[in-house]
Amino acid sequence: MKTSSPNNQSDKDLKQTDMHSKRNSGTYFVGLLIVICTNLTAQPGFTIYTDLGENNVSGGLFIKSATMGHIKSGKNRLETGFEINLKNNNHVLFSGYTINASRFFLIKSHPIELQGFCTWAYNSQLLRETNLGALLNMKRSRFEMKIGTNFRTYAFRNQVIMDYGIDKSSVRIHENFNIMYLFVYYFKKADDHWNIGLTVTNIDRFTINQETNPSLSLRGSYSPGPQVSLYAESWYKTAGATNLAINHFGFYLRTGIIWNFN
Amino acid sequence: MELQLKNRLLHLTAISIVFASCEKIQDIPGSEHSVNQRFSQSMEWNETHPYHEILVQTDDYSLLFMGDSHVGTTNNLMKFFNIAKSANSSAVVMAGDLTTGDRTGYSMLDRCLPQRDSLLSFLTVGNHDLWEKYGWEEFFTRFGPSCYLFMVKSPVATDLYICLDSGSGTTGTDQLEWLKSILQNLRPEFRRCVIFTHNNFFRFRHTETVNPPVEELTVLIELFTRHNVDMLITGHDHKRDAVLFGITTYIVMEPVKDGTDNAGYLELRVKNGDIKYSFENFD
Repeated sequence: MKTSSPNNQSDKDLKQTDMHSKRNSGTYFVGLLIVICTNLTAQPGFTIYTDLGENNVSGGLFIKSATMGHIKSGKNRLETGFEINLKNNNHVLFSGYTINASRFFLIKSHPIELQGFCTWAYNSQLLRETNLGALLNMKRSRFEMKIGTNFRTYAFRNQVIMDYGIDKSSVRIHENFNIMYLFVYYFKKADDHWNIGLTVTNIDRFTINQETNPSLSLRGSYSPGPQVSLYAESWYKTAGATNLAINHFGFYLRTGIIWNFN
Repeated sequence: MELQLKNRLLHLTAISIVFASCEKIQDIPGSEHSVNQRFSQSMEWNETHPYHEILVQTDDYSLLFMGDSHVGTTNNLMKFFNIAKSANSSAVVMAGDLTTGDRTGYSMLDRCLPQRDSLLSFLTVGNHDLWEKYGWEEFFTRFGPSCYLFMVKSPVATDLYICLDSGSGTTGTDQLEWLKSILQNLRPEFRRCVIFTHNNFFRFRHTETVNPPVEELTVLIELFTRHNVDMLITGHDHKRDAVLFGITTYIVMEPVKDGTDNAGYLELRVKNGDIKYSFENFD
């Protein structure tokens, strides 16, 4: 473990100040975007959900909760949210943050959504994972497809770099591009007040798995009114599926609410 | 009316596919033996077969590592064993996908393996070795466990080598607990620690091969860092790579498989505590 001299300490303070100012700039930027996008025609909304489940590395039951907020204005949509660990064996409370911006347009009268996003996942006390990417979303009455690509970076946290004396050149790893996909088939049309959907995907709000590690999900939703939708999902995760030596990896249940203020 | 009928037929088809898939899960190759079952059998085997401790005369020894021989044919594999013998390697380590999954491959590999008094070999499974229903039985009966330890003891210090089973894409709950326990309790007694398994961790190129899910990678990288694991040696991707991330070097070996342009292996040399590796190709 490295020790800190007074000079190193002041360097550290400077770095921390720099980090804080970067964070403040980020918050200011996000706030500014929200203000810009908010006008009289803007449609805000939020999503809250909770996951309960288990996987091969969770050491028993895990409980997570996430809150997402969005604003839609004309053809643009901005969404941001965070995830917290309520019960897990990794001793991390704040486990994810995401921001995405979308633009809606028509191709041959079919609505298409183009989304750019950045996600930070903190599922370890030592590491953080960053994903930058873009998704194309096509939605028909019974079928939804998202396809896109992301670039993943694993990096050690600043304190860990100092504690373990990690060399600057080995602090992070950038992976090659990954293909993201989501295919949903809905049993009823999208405008119905209840629906059931089957999904195959490698993406979730804060977790993007390798394209070779798909998950299956069954989703049921019910809209008691035009602005509110309640939903429940069961997710099954596999390992090794595309190499034909398959193993169970995990299972979780999600319940949530989507509220749009039109 | 026609539209409703069409929709009902679509739903019926979707429901049938789901239920048919559930019934067929048992028919998916490799689904008969979960990694937990293989781990359990391996531990039973380990209880009656103590871990190997290789004694070396000086603090300068080498091990040869290989993976992905996909036997089949054995030209490169035989070259590999001959090189190991002539280089006076302390042992060879074989990191999975040793067969194509065809039953004849296991017996062919068995015949090729050097006698233990001439050259020690340490094997583990890859996804190909588990493909068919009989894959794990064939492997386990002939070659023993897929998860174990061995040690190399020089006059100065002892180094720890840990073999993990990642053939079905995950370490599984039980093996992970075992690994945690080994790293917490045993690791401090050893100078160097090298882990070998089949599946590579990172995707440095775009590939169709499977890696452990990202949730698992995070946990394993954290464990390796906390417990000062020097090196992870893997195969699977058939393209060499080596990167130092944190304090651990993550290595992907080239395949030994006959007919591949980049066929090769890895030499690991430990000299006076320094650990060095080199990728070697067949002529």
